Amino acid sequence: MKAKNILNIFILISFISCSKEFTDLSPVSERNTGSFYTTANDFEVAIAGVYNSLLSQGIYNEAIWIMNDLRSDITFWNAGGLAASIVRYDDFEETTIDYVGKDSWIAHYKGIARANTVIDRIEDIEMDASQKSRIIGEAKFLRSLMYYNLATTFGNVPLVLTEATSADDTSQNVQVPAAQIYSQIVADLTEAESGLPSTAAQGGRATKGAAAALLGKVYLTQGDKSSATSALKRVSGYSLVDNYADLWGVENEFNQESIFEVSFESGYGVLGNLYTSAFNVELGGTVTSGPRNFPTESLINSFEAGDTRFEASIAGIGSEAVGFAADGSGWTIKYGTTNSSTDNDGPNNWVVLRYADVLLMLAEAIGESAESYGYINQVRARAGLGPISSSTAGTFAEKLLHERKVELAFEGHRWPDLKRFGVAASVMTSEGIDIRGRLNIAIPQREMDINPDFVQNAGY
Amino acid sequence: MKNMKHFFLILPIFLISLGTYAQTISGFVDSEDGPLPGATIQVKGTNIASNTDFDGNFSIEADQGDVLIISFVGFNSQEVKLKNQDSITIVLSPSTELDEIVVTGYGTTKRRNITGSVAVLSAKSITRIPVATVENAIQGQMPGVQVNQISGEPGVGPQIRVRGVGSISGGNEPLYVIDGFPISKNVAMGVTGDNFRRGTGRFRPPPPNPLANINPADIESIQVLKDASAAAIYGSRGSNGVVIITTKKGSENGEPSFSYNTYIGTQSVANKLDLMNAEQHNDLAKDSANNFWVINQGGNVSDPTSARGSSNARIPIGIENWDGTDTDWQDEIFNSALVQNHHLSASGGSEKAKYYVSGNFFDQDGIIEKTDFKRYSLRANINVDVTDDFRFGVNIAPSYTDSDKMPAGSPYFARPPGIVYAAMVHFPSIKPLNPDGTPNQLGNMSYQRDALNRGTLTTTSSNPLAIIQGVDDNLTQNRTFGNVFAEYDIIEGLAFKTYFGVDVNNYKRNFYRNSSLFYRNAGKGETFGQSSSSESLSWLAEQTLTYEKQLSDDHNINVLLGYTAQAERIDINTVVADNYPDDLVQTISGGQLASGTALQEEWSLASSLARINYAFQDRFLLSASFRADTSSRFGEGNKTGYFPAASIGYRLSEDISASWLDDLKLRGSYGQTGNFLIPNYASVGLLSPADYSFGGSYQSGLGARTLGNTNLSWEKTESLNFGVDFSFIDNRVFGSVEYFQANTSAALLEVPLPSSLGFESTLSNIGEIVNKGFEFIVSSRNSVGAFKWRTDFNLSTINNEVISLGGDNAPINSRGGAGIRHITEVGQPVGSYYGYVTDGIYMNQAEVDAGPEDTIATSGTPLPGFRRFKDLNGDGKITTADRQAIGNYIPDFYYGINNEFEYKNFNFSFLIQGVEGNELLNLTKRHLGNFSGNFNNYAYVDDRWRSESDPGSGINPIAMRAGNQNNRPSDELVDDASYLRLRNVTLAYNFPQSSLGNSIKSLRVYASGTNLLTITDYVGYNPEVNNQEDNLLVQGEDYGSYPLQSTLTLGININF
Repeated sequence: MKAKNILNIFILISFISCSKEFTDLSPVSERNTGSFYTTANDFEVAIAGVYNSLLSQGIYNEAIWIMNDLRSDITFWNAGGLAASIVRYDDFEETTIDYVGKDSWIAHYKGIARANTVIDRIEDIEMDASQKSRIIGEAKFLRSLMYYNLATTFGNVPLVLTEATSADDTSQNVQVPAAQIYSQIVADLTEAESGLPSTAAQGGRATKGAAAALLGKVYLTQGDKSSATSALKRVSGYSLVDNYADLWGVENEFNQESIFEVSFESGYGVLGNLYTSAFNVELGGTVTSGPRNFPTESLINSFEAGDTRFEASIAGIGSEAVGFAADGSGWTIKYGTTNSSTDNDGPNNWVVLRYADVLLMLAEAIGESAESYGYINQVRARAGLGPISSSTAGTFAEKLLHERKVELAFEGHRWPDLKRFGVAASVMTSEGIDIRGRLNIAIPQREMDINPDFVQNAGY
Repeated sequence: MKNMKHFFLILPIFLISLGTYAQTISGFVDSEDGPLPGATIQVKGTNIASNTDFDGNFSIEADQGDVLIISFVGFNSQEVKLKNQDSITIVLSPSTELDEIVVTGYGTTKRRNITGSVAVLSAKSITRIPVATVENAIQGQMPGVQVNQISGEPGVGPQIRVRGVGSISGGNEPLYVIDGFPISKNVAMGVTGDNFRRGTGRFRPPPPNPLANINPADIESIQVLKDASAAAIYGSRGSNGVVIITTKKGSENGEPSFSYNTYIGTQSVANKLDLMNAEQHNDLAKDSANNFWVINQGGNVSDPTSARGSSNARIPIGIENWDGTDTDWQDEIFNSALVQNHHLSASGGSEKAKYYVSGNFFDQDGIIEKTDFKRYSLRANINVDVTDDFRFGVNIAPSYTDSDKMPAGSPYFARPPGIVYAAMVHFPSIKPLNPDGTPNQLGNMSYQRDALNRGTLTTTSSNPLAIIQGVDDNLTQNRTFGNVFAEYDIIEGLAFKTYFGVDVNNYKRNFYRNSSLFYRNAGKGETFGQSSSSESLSWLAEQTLTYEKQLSDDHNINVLLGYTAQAERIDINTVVADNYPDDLVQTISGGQLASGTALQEEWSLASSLARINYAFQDRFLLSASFRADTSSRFGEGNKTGYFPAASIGYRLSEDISASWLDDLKLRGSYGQTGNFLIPNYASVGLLSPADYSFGGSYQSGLGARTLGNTNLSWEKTESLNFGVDFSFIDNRVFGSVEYFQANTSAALLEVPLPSSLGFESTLSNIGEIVNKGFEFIVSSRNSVGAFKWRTDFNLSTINNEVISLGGDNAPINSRGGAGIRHITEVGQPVGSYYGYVTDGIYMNQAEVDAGPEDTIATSGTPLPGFRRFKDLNGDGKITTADRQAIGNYIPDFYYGINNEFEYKNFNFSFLIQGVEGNELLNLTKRHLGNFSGNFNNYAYVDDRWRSESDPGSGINPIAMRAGNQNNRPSDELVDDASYLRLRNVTLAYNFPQSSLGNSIKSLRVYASGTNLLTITDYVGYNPEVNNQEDNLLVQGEDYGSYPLQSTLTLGININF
């Protein structure tokens, strides 16, 4: 009898601890994809996560200005040591494994994946219809922005439009022509423009105007100037800030000219930028060999006499600072002249789209005409410069590109501009730099290794 | 039968009544080694006992008809019934290891009856070497168990690998079972970042070393279950082997026995690197700058530095105007250091209760200042037989360790910088101290300018003495480990046991970097404080039923059934502060709070198990086992795994009649085990914070961090094992030969994903790896009698090969300490080194012209004196396609030989241990072998190519400040790390009993030397180094290390 009782106890204990709950443990300290994405608020959190991608080093924090400005004729950096690979990008000597290209690729696709998750999962959620279309609009705008960056940086890239739920989900990892990327962006932005509000409830959120402005830029890239014109003309409710210098500084963020800007914030440790202290050597703390982005002589010489934009953009020419290879070349002050926070946690926003850019794009879309000179001259007048016209020396394209160069210096527009105008190689040659056919950055070696069907870009 | 039982009950009374007529019996205990002093003689069933004297004689009060039990350590006990004798002579035969009882997991068995693969180490072999932790004792003494002393830092445990590595992304640590309680090292938890990488100074609690808290002297025996048939009873945790540690119990002997063991030792660095002195280095620095100026820039060697337009061509002022300083930076940082150990134990008991209690204090100072490890531990093991059929026991072992740490083993550029590496790269021409006695922090900085105060691109490194002064880092661990069990015999042979154990483990770490330390070329210090703590609670509840029955004279069966549940919860907190206004307050409260977090993780495991052992006579042995494990770590669809195993043994010696043959057994086994060492939540798609500030209004955001994998499962290992156990010539030669093959399938791989999925990688069960090898162990008692000589030898071979990586078998390139330098590909060992293959030096321009075009070099074509890289695919160009696997850390074989000599009261032993055929990826050569002069270099760099007519050794390139391609991932950085080490030499003297008096039972004094000599071609400090222990894809990197120490020890063991 006793034996039987003990056996019973044994069996009982076994079954108690055998219960399913004992081995069903969900993460305690992290949310997971299985239980999240169910309420409207979850999607507000998720869309904030998509915006957050823009802060990454592979996007607006670093890669964009290395790819688009440092690589172009307007800025340079020539130190060695830890920054050597950045210098290689400046000199068109980068390899397929250098980190900036890889970071850029990965960060953009991570952001796109976050947007895809929102777009895929929000469909079946019951929520306020306008909130839903706004969130979808934001997700599609952000996805379009990231695809625009990818296509202008790398050329032919994969077009992934749905959330990957398993490692086998690789069917979308196929290079498609950049043109196909642009077509998708056009479709997405058209939908986003209709779903987004005209004015943002909070600074930094995408609006109808932002979607239309980006749409205009993509049409221009496609060469569809009439569609560009109509899209850009839909960008309304914005105007130039009177004083160019008032575009910059934390106190001037989200001004009347700003259409879309990436909202960096210091003090949280993970929401700040690295470029505020990297650009302005006076704010650089102990960093001496990190990334820098100094104006070239060519840029400095491009400012016409009396251009108020010069003083608002560049300082420190001739100033000697110990430890900098670029002694005396000056630096940009667009991203802060004071910085109370630590290195790599700067508060200054990155302006992606602003009205002056729209005006110049409109001029580009319409082509040489009185109307287009009118748009250019609006921008020039604000800079304290007299009007230009068809009788001014140079071709229309040269004059327009020159205006973009000085108006939008250090804002990450230069390389796509040079490519769009078809002058990237010739402009760089005149700077004494051979781009070795490298109009696009190399497809990162890691992606080439994973998918042998990928075709590497020219020049690598 | 019933009546008989009653008869036995009255027997003791009968015996006691007889006891009144006791008489004195005298006797003599002899053996093949001569008379045995100190043997124990006990009258069976009583507390009456006696010991033999120095000559082996004894006398005892006993009655005719009594049974005497004669026992002596190392000999088989004998029982003798007195039959009208007043004097007797007993000859004891030496016991062999084969007679030992071996703990096999949920049970015990006689070693001679083992049919799986189990390595055994007894208490004697564990304490033979004065060591800090148990792993150190194992090294070189167990076949199939490779122990690497990866660091000499006090408190840091060695790495143990049982029969190779079967996992790529899961853990490769064996399961430790301490007094029945399984402990696995956890896969590193969520607090990310580590001291190793540049730019981070974050905390990661060390993976709890299950053995650091255990005093080696408390251990009775260590068994390592190596093959699947032995380890399958531990199911999903058995693949990496199981290390079973059993602590000492009290004896039934009655008399309490006290033991005091102590030693004190002095340690010094085991070896110093052969680096350049100031004269050699100055020459290198000038040579490399001059070559750059002349060859690269077209200048003239006679141009003064002031006329040179390139910083790479300038000579640092301290070298151009050398003041004769010749600092040996290694001497500046290494000191001699003390180690001491005190261990007091008491053990004893009666028939009913046994106890073993002990206390230990261990204190080791490091050979680098401000490093040390102290351990305070207590243990109480109590076993009580309440009645004939009910027993219980308690083990409890609280311990506390306190360790001061220094960033000694990281690269010079890490944050905080590595002390040893900083000393290695520092110019010998720089003075260590300023005139005021403070560390000279500007000497090796970019302030090392030329005469015109222009940069010379000297690579900057913090002064190692300043690092020591600038960092305070303390780690404490508080651990309480305990278990209780009760066992009840339901009927004869059938026992029910219930067991409950807990392991509570707390870590606390405080780190402070003060304002005095300049990080590399910074002109001022950056204060930084971090305080972190972790707590883990692991508990285990287990019920087992065992049934043992001798069915007839020929058949014996032993059945085990069990159910066990285990769970662990771990909490980690960390806070970080910076901007301390001064160094007066170094806790977090003294600075500005910068960040902090707290997190928790859990895992659980519920299992059922069964085993049957069957023996036919002594001839045929069979064992079969089965376990089912359900774990929280595995994916939803794959939570439960089943692990069967079986083994058979056949004793051929039963069929062979030969006087020289004592035992010969053939055995074979097959089984399946698993490896559940994967992150706790790897099967789940995790979201991590990705917040955003909308125009200053903070919004919480989330983004996917991992893809998740609902099919994620344990790694499965199927293993075959064949062995022969033998014993010859009166058990004077005995040992085993084994062959094993273990195939791991469903190996977890961090599979690189196309980033376009939004993830860079995910864990999948797709790989296949095979480990196979031979193991030999032979013990030989070469000489017996007054002069005893015994030799133990073991050797293990290991062959590791990746069979499949899933899908199209795309190789995995892995980024270690310095970019991609590892590859895991089919046909090669896991994590092989990867890079270009060098082919000597271009001796002249003609050879360069004939060579392939180098498309990798950004600085253009090679120059005479540069390394030649092989064009492996023969396309006439050096491209990324010209890389291949170029070596690995897996040895061909490893071995240990212990010799022990005993003559009269002297005992002398030495242990030699070694590893052959393994390579290290010596990343220190990126700096110390770069031929660029901007760091100090290894001394061999002096013998370099200087011109076509003076090519030096012909294998070393030209000195060139920049563009020399010496750091390209190539076999030049892959070094043979085979070594042979005189691990230990001990000379001991046992005082004769006659000189000790009555109160002292034995007294032993000894002198011992550890790590006295290492023979190796490896140029770094330690051929066993492994910088990234946790990441199997990048094993074998030497990127700075805390060197090993050699130790001279004096010790005393007293029993009273």
